[in-house]
Amino acid sequence: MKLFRWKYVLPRLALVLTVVLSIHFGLDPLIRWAVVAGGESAVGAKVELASLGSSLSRGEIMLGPWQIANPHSPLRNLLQADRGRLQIDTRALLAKRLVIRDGTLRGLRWDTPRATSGALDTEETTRADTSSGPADFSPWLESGRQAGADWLAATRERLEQDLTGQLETPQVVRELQDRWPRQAARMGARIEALRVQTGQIQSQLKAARQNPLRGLEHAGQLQQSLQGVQQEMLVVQEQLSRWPGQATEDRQALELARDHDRQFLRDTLHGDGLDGAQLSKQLLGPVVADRLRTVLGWVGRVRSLAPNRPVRAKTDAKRGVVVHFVGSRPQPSLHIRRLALTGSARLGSTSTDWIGTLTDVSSQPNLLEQPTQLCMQGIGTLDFKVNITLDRTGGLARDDIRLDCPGLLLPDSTLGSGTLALRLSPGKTSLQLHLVLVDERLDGQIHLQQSAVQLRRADPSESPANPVVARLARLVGQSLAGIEQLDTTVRLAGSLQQPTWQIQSNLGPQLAQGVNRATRQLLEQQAATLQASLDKQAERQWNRLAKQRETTRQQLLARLGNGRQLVEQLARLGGGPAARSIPQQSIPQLGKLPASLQKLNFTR
Amino acid sequence: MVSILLRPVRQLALTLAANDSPRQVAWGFALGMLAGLVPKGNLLAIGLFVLLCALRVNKPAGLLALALFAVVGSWLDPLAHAIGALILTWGPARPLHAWIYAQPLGPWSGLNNTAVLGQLVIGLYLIYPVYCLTRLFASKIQPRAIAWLQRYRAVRWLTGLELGARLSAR
Repeated sequence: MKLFRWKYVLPRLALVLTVVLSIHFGLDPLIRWAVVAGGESAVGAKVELASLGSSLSRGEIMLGPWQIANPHSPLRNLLQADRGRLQIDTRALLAKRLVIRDGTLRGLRWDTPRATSGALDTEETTRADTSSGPADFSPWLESGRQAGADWLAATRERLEQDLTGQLETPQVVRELQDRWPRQAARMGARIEALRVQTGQIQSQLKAARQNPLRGLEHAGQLQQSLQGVQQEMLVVQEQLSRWPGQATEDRQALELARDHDRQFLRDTLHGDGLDGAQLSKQLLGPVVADRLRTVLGWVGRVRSLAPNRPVRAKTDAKRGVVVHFVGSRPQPSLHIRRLALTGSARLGSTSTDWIGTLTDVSSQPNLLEQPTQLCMQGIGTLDFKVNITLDRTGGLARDDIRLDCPGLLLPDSTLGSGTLALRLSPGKTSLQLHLVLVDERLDGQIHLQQSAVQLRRADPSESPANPVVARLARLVGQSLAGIEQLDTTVRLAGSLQQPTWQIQSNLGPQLAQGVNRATRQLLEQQAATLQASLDKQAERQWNRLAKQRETTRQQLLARLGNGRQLVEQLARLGGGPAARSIPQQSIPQLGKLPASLQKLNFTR
Repeated sequence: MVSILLRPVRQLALTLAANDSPRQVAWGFALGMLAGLVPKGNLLAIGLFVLLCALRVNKPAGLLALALFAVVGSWLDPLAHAIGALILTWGPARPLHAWIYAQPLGPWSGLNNTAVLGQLVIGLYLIYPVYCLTRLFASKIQPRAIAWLQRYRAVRWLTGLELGARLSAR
């Protein structure tokens, strides 16, 4: 009896041969399908591969043009390449592993537009975006914007406020305008009362001289009345003589009020000082936030492809446990040892070619002894270096990203908004970026240095409607002339999803210094103008009041002098004791009175 | 077409009523048992199945055992895992396991899986007893079963078809 049923074995051998031949000729479509399906599963967006050729004998796979859509932006590609060649380790296939020993990818570009949507039709495409970078910087930016707006509003308020109600000089002048005429009126009334009283005494004396016997009864009373009038005249004259002294005191009070107002204006019309750090935040914050969002978004996407948690080797066994033997280190099922890359990129407003190498990429990077490394170097129009290390070999995922671009040409951009908005002209910038991610913790620094800076107001032709704001805007424009170099450092902390950052720049302090100086000058000028106006007005009013008061005093003294002569005559006519003499020096201006006042009658 | 459709039924009947010797039936059943126990998806399971098909053994009995012991095997998984783990972690055998694993197609064999190795060991352990029991069973039951089955026209027709198929093949 034969051991083998050749009749059975031969047809099956023929079947196996057919299968082998089918695989041989159908391998390319099979690999192409596997690449596309695996890529789409990993990325969550369409992976399109125009052509693929393979050679099992040489262990080569030749890739035609391919592109991977961006899962978060379906009309853009995450990555695109013209062609590639992968050298496969066929022995590793026997060990159930796909190892790409060497390879080249040419014409690599990222973030390129697509003609058709790259979204997959499955529900998986709607999964949450966990790698698009930080979601919201608006509270941070809003605080900077608010600080600038607050400063502008405060300065505008200072310049526009009506301070006259709070000044003392006008109050003192008003008080004098009120008090001096009242005082003069009271004095006039007293002199008038004396005139009336003197007239009555004169009438009584005339009556007594016509009837002496009857007059004797009232002689004593008349004498007392005359003495009383004389006494009152002395008091009035003395009070009038004190007016110049009182005017001197009032003048001193006015001077004190003016000094007070001068100090008050100095205290009130001063600039709070625009904070340079806040100004940097306001001007550079939106631009930096925008670029930071892009950078961190890409870092997040790269991280999502390189799992930051240790991945266990797949057992691909639903039953039992796969045992790894001592001395046979678990190997990842996919391992790309080295890829030579060439491509082009757009940095700032410059397109440039670059070359690079990508080493040790794996589906289970924690099983590798070396971290994944990507080195890129610009060739041609722009010199730049990128070194990215994704280390999953230790317990914690550690990523190190460095970018050094000394001659980056940045396009013109608008910094800030509103009155303080500035336009930054295109210029060469040195950009240095260093990010370190340990597990979820982010630590990094971005340094931008731009020389020969040309800054101007965003829209100098448009002048704000409010004259004060327009004036401030002009001051900002003038302050920009002194800024020649822009030096900005952004320090990052927190996590990739919720980063915190600080901007340090010389733009804010330089601009703030200029603006503060100009604002201070503006406010001092405003204070000086107000003070001068106040002084002029107070002086004019004082002079008018003093002249008026002196005229009134002279008139009152003249009237009082006439009355005094009449009272003395009456005293002599009455034959009583000598009338108390009123000192002539008390009324020195009597002789200066006009002729009309040189009457003996006690006139009004 | 009818022949193809009735082939499974015919083979079931032929498990006992065929002209194969009890020894062939027993080997078929034992190999089917071994192939059924071992978890699928590895080169070992494929090799055992190819062996079952390639050897001159009773294939219907093997396929029947394969289906039966595929179910039984899942029940035995905890035991198989324990046995497999014991063997794979046994110090003196580790170099051998590592050597097997390091050979081309070694990782495809599944021999570093506790359940695969455990089921293989259980199967190998049971193969001879199963062979003996099946042979005993077949030698005692087969003549009576043939006589009993031949009373039915359908069975005669089915065996006739098989005979016809064989004659036409010759």
